[in-house]
Amino acid sequence: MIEITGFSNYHIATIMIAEANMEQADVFKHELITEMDSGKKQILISFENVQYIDSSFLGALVASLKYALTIGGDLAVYGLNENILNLFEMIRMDKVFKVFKTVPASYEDGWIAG
Amino acid sequence: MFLNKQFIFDNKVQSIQPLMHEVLNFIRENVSPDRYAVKVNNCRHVLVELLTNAVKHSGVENSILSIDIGDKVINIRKTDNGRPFYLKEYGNFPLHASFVGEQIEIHKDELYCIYAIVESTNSLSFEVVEYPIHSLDQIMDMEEHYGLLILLKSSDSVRYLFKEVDGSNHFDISVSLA
Repeated sequence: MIEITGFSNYHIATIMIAEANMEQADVFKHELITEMDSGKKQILISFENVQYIDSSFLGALVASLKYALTIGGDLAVYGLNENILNLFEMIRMDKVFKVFKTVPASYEDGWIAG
Repeated sequence: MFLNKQFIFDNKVQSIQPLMHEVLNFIRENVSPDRYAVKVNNCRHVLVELLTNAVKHSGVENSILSIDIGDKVINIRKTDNGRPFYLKEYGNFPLHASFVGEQIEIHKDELYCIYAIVESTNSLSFEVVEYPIHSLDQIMDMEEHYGLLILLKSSDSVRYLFKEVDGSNHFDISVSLA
């Protein structure tokens, strides 16, 4: 489901599926939390391969962020297509997740959008 | 101008994307390019969530998606004979007449509150209230259920209708073309 690679002082988790839907949500959350538990606490999630996201997958994304915050970690998103970015803006997920248009050079100052 | 087309959905998650494309093609062919460009994301979000709702909650093999395209609005209706909308302590549909007019809080967290308004013993409308985001604590208290919120924010109205005559459920979503 996700491929994780080290980059600068953080990690990039690339979602390897095109349809981020209810069938994939639990696996995604489990894999992401497993990575955080192994010490990769600052993770940029790449949506470059994703065509659409449903409410279940969005719920898994928020649950993962909440978990990250409880262990002193951080999550941000990158590579949202126009449709997914529109959804994030519509329900203000862009105020919850830091949305990057390009891969940041390094992790600094926290990613929570606030 | 008024056009209608119906689509059968087999309530399988792998059918969501092909059907979504089929429906969006029908809309694109019958709406001006400028209006389509402005509203395509709204329609896509509505379709994904209506179809996902059918997979998750209907408990039956098929749903019908009916698309009406008028001059000023696109109406998207999902119909099935599965489980009716559940309002916890308010009981099953048809609801008791004493509930008509009530505003029922069905979802609330630090960012949003969603209400169901009992329009009749067999119908509901929905409204959402937004709260400002100003702290990390709000994120920790966020709920993780977004289906109805996405429907409400993507459209101009969301209604649920239960038809007693055949026990069918109807979600009616309007997306204005204005």
